[in-house]
Amino acid sequence: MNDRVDIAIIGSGPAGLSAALNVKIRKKNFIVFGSNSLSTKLEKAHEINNYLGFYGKSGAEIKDEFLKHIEAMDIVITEEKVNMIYAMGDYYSIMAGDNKMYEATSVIIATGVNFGKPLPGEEVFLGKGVSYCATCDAGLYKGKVVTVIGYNKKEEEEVNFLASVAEKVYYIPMYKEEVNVSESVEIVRDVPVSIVGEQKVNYLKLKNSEIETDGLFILRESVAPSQLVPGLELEGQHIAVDRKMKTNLPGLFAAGDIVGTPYQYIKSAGEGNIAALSAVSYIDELRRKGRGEK
Amino acid sequence: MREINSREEFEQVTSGSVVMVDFFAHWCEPCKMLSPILEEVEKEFEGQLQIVKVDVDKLGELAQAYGITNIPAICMLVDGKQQEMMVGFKPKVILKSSAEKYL
Repeated sequence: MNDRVDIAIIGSGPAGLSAALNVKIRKKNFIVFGSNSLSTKLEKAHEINNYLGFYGKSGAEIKDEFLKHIEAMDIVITEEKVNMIYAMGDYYSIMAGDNKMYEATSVIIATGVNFGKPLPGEEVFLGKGVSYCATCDAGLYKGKVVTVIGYNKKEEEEVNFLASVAEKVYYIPMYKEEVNVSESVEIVRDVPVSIVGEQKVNYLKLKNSEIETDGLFILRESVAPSQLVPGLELEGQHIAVDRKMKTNLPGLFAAGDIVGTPYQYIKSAGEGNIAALSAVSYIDELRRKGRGEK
Repeated sequence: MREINSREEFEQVTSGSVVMVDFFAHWCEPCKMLSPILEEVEKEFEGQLQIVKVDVDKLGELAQAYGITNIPAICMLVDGKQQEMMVGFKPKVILKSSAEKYL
């Protein structure tokens, strides 16, 4: 088990980085999960004219400025995907990469909004045949039919794992690359339309066909915030926060696009700043109470 | 937390008052995370709420009877009747407020 850090920041866009530098200034120990290319959305932005001080620059140029800034402050990004965050009471357990566990007293979620819309029926049948976690639920499908929708080539491992447990696996890859999965898996190149069932999932409707299935695993690149942190309160698709960027879970803060519109870089950076200061006071308060120490 | 070993035992334990059932499996990571939190909830509601565990691999029929397709699944029973089913890991605040509704 890793040592517990004060603050874990999930996301390396403007909100996450702004949070990171503020936490660094306040001398808390922290970890930033994200990517060294920072944010695909930022990278692709043509020209950003409403970010103070960066007139006429492209997203890629601003990204380079952000990188220079965090490098100058010795902020390192941990390139691991965060799969789950568990509210354990006094701390948070963060499952990242290949089931590696991290612990943090406080967490700032700044993942942006690239989770996409759920399929019709997805929310209705969540927990009734729809699952987002193959390693969690595979064992319940011994001798049954399972369908997997995978949005990334990386998910093929999960598909093979399911194939070793279930009687039959259908795989619907949502990417163009070549698919390499166990021979027993039936690959279906089609577009999911909706999930149909009564008490439980009965079948998946696709554009050109239908698959009768007991379970449906939907494996997306990034999961909706309510899946990332079980028990987190939402407002529509976004995380519900107050002006201090506080969520319904003590010690958990959120900033940037994930808390709502307008989706603007400078708004995200500003919220990252507030979230960081709130997380810092949360840690200080815990220390005053004599808790939260390692 | 008491682990249930047979259907008869389950029926006997859940027939009275307020019981929270944790459907789990040993290979399930979120179940492992939930377990210490349930222990804490059980302690805090001592004498009012009983929490029991059901291993879905051991008592598959029972899990099927309750329509368990994802775990962990927390079922709230009052006098043996299902009131609520919560699927997936839940933070302590949510488990507590759910229990309080039936106490």
